[in-house]
Amino acid sequence: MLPAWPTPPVLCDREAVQVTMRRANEQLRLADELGFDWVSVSEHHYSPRILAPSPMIYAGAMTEIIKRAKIAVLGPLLPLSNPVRVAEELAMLDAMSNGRIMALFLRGTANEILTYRNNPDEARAMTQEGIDLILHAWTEPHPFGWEGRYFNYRTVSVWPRTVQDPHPPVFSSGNSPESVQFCASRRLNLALSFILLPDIKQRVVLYKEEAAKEGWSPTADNVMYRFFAYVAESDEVAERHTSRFKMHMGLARHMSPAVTQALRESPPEKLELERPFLCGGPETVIEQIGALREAGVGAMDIAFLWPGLSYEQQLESMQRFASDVVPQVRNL
Amino acid sequence: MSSARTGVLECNGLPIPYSESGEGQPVIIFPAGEGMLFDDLAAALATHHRVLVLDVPASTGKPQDFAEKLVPELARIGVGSFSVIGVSRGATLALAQAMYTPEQVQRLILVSPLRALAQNQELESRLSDIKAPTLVLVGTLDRSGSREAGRTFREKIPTCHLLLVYEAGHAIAADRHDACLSPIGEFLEQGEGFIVFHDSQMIRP
Repeated sequence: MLPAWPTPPVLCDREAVQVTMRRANEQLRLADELGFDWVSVSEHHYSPRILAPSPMIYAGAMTEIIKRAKIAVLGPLLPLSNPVRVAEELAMLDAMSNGRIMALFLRGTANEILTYRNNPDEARAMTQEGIDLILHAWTEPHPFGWEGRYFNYRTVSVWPRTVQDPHPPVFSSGNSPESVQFCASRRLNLALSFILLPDIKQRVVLYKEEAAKEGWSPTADNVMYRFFAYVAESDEVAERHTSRFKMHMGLARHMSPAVTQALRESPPEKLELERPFLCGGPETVIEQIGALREAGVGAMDIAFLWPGLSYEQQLESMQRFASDVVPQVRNL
Repeated sequence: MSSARTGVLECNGLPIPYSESGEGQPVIIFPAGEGMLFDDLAAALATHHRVLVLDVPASTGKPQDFAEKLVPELARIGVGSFSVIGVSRGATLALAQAMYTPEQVQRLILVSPLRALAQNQELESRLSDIKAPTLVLVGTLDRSGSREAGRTFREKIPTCHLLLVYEAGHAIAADRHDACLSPIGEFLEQGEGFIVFHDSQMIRP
């Protein structure tokens, strides 16, 4: 059973943390060597799952660890952040990485919103305003003030400018129809996370419809899907290694019922995944990616993770994906 | 505007009706005409200022002549130095007032200025002469060209501050009344010092 969120710090094994960080760095180097297009970092708080409360700090380290791949900062949580500071830090990272930064701005799940006592009912509006503010901060040529609904600054003047002109690629969440509309209206790239294939298709169709209203036509390259994968030597091995455990996505599922009730419109997620989205031997995984491509997805952000997989199995899965799958799917 | 007093000025041979309310430092408003819904904002400013809203005809002759001849007319009703607010097309007269009568204009505030204004070569060439602390407000949803005009003013007027009002269109005061009133009020009081934040950030005294 997973511990409650927030997880008590007393349960944190200091040595295990160091091992985790060392292994993360090893995986970064491996991904870079294997030719992955990007490596990503996200933001999560108060939990042993993904030790990155500050994605910016880790992305800074990544600029020195990986030499070729892009660095995707997929998840600065804007309701928890000062958007101007986020714009500054990403611009700094873009300079440090010689223009290799990509960004996805998120609102965070219900438990993350509790981290610094933000109002969950306003999280989406804060995120959308934060995205608009960051885009202005990166593109306005002169200092400006911002009279927002949630953010207010009398003088904004971001230095350094981003290396990428006009700014790094920006993704916005499309997990709900409302967020797809916002994403298309701002001509941003679409990021879908952990939803099922029929929902992916529906969101991509909506994205294209909304983009057409705004006078532009996104392609599959504008659509990213984020998911878990395990590539084994065969379907049978993949089944054996992933069927013992399910993936519980809702970190807040053991919260007090009173807290859950107080969250009202934003209840903690209880999403439970039976299998990794990509799961099987290389041939099966290639077919699964074909279906994803048919749904309109052109970019994949993959966590080679699943409960019960050893660290060595995760590395083998990455290597098998690079050697046996990527060459077959590059030109799909 | 509640309890407004009215009168008529004469400028460039034109009758200029005006309404006036409030007490304090004078603020002259050149409104945009119908649809911009600036009345509520003018009324709110009148709680701390003597606000005069001038009903200027669409054609006033040369902006310089109008600006220079307006000064003695305002002096006739006891207005010596003043701040000036120009809304949309009214920004032309506000800008000219700051440019050609710098001794009188204390603050210049342009709300949703038209793009054509920034493209007027005679005015544009003299933007750097403006001495009054200047504030330009533009809505992030304004597609009329005000954003480009605001950028030009921010670049060429030495004391200019550009303020983007989130989710407001060209009728900026109608869309985000409080988001306009607060910075305009603070700018009238403090000029460029309005960027300094003095509200307490203490949570539990």
